[in-house]
Amino acid sequence: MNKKISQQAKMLREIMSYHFKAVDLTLYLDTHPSDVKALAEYNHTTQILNNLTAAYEQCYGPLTVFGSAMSQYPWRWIEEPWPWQVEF
Amino acid sequence: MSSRKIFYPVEPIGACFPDARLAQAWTPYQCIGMIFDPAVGLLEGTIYPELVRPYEPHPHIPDEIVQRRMLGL
Repeated sequence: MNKKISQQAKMLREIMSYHFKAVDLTLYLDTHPSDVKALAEYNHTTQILNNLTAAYEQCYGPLTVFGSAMSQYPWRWIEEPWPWQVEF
Repeated sequence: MSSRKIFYPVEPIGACFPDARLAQAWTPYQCIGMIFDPAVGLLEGTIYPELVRPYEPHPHIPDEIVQRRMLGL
């Protein structure tokens, strides 16, 4: 595995972990909407997730095909490895 | 509306994941406390330590059923 893919996979794993944390917090908040501590944790997690996503997309291109990140020239989406091509 | 019918092949029950639990009807009521580091949560399948299986069964479940579940019946 070359160094670029290794770093890319590392960033993807971190994004996946924060994404999972955000999802799990939303499930809790759905049944505990007034939990201030959980809400703060969710907002903090979302901020980190947004920062990680922006940093990844700056280096490797968009994570979702449209509506989330702008693309550099040329169109970056087709330059991304498919999910099954990334070695975690 | 099209009248064409689509037939999907029938997959044998449990063919892919014979030991998988596909649904959970009850989980313990939570009060948020410590939560896992995101990387640990991803591995455990939950960020809440109290939801790592096996957890305490519902207090109203009869002992007989609890014991059957512990034996995997």
